[in-house]
Amino acid sequence: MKILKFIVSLSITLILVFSMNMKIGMLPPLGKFINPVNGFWQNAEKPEPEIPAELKLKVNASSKIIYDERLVPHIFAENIHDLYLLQGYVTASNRLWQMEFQTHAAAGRISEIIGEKAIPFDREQRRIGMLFSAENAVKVFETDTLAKQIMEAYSEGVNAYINSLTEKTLPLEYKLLDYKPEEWTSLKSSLLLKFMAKMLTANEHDFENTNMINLIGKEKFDLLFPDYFPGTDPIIPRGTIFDDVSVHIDSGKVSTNGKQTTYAPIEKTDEHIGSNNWAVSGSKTASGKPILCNDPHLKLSLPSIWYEIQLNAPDINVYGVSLPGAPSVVIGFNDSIAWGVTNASVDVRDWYEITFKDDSKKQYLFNEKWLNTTAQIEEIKVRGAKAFYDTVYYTHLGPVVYEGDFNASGSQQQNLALKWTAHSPSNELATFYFLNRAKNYSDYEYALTFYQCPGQNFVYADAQNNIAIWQQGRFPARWKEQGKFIMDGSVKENEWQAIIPQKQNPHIKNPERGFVSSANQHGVDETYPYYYLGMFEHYRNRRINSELSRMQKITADSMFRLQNDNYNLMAAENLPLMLDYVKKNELKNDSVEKLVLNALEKWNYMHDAEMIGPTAFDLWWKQYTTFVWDEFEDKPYKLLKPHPSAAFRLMKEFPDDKLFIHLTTKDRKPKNAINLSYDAFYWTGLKINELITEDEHPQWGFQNAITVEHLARIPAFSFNNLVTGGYKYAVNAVSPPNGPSWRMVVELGDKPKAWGVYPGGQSGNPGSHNYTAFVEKWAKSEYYELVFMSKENQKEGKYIQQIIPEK
Amino acid sequence: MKIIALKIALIAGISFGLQLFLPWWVIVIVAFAIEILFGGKTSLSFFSGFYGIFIYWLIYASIIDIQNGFILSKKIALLFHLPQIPFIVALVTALIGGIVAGLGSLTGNLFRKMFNL
Repeated sequence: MKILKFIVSLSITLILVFSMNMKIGMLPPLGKFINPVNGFWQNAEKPEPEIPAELKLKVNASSKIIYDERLVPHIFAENIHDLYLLQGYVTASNRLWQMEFQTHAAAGRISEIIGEKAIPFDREQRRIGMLFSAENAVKVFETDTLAKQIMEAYSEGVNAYINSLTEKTLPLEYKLLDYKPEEWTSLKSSLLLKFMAKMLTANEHDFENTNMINLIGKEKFDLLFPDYFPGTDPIIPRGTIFDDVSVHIDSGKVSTNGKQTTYAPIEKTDEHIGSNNWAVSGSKTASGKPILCNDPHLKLSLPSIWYEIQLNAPDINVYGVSLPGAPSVVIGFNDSIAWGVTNASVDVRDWYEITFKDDSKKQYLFNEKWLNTTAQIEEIKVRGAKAFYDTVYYTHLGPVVYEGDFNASGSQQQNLALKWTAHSPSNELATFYFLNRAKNYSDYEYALTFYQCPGQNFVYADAQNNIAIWQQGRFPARWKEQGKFIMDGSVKENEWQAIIPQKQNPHIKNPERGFVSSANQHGVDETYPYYYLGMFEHYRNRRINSELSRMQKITADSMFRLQNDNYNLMAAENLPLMLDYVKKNELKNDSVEKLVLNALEKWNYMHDAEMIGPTAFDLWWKQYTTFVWDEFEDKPYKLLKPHPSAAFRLMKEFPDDKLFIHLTTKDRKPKNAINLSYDAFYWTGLKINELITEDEHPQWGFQNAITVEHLARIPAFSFNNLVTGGYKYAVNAVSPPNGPSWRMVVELGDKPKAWGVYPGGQSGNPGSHNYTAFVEKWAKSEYYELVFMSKENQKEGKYIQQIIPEK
Repeated sequence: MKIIALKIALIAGISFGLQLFLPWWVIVIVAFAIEILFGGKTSLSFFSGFYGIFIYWLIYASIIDIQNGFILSKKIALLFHLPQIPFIVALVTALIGGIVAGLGSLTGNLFRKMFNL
């Protein structure tokens, strides 16, 4: 009996201890996770960060890291090796989990962490060739001694931090998800850059365009999806003379075969991932010195995509934001110049239909010959289950992404290969290395020559009062409409025959108008000698240009206002006509419709947080386009709804178009744009009424509330429902879940002055006071003055850390 | 009564020392061993381990919680769907630790009883 009691008690105890040491489903290993000595409690930081005054690392010379009040590290090193080692070390000590998680995501290795449900995601990363791209980039680093040195030093720093970790000091997410960091390598840094490339260039619509043209025919397609919308205001001002074509390409023929593609397209760039940047010349500023501004719009996440840092060594003194996981500063300024980026949004991804000789997929047809494929076996390790194996066939065009059962629906048997500039070997880090050290325009121009993907608009200003912008990337020279639709991969003319020569990429220096700007619109007008495709912005950019043209005696303050400008040009251009269509005499005096009408008639087109007008306008135009494009709903294949400007253009120019026949209300009289817009207005009234009666705050700030989401989508670690103004078509492009991820204003001069803010904090630890330290300031459109130190002036340092060479 | 207080203090103190280098489950072994050494009423033996670890973990977690300004514990409460009450996470931490350690001490006591000591 006593033995039995003992055995029962022992068994229960052992079972409990074992199960509390194991991850069960979504639950972390409870005992490991909650115990106050090594568990999550140890990630709960005191408000005052504990930064040791001395640190031993494998640096060649004594160095210093000075943290300012906002915990921005200012690294003072004596040589390149030490500088990047320390960048790797400080970045990892604040953002290690994020760095590794993003590179795991890029490599298609999330299943290793969270199990089976990530297999489709991982499979997609493998099939589009993310790892293949990163490995190609590493081959370039290996042959370039400078790049190799930087990458190795950075990795050394990250690994020094990883090796210093104990169970107790492991970042919180590792404890929660129960895994350990692995060694950092230059492959991981490359994967991070490819992660950005994917985020910013997956904007092609070959499938959707093919399906659409087959559905509505070429004439209508061209009306709804024109290469240029009327009124386009390109980055390089109209009237600029371009050099003639210097590479010849044979023209090909668009052929869409009438075949609809039912494959589900892979993850795409959000239409509202964009950015603004501009530089104004001294002739337009109060100080007589140029001012440069940049606010890249990305999916807002925690830990933030950016990490602020200053790098100082004998040949460099640069401040700005870096991408955790990659050496150098990506957007910033130094003593002589400032630069910023926006996405070029040029299409650099094409899809080709591949004809395999037989089911073995060993050969495919190209130019009347059978060429060999290379089969790559992908092993996806899965936590708690057997590994998943996938075979990807590579052609000279690129990996055959769609083939077999991948993303298939129905009985479709199309094999589709992806041609993508991210696959070609490149060394984007060299661009940032040289930009960080650039002293003048020619240094900037030289730095850009290394840059290929993702294509960016690099805005520039320097202390000698030069301003410039280059659209830089590796862009294919296309024949007209090449790549707009899925192409036949066996036809020679369909492949990319040439790349636009780098010197002919769109650029301009010191234009007469006194400013340069970009906001993801067209780079150039129709007179540019090469044909290109893309997904271009139509409103924000024109607002910026008209404001900059108008403004004189510009100061940093007026630039803050422009970056946070909530003016909706789309409303300004279309709302008056929409209001004309409202049958005002039919509205009862005390009705919600009347209230909505009054709010809109008084509205100044500003998407400010406390207003109701913007809520009404947003509901109205969206419902209007839903009515107009109802022909494109519920198809067994994917279609892209035309840009809203196409719907407004139809309203103005073709108000009786067949598209205005509203399918679901066929019994009612034939519709035209006027009736449809009015129907949408009526619906808006109902909706606003609903918001008011259900106490759901119709004010715009609540309707546009944004959640800054944790990278692993853990709501508890996210900043939820931040009430703020802004709009996707306004300069202040807050458009949940995307928004300005870093706002920066730099005034050049004898000593640069700069301001910035991002919706996050320097620490990546949810248990730190600095995890979301800047979010509220960001939401209020306020800025921090950035502390730009020098060897002589470090008085604003708050914590000083001496780095001592380890023997 | 004095014995149980001593056992509680020893379990808390020794666990605190050993947990600095050994995994969390060393608390169970400590509770187990202390009961083997001291023995006592089986009906009370669960509580030596329970209170030893409950008190130790509660104090430890609460100190951290206060120093942290409750930033992390609020997030953990949200994560585990616990109500947003101050110290709830520290309390749950202490309860869980207490229960496992209590089982350890009970098992230790029963082990001793097998040999009629």
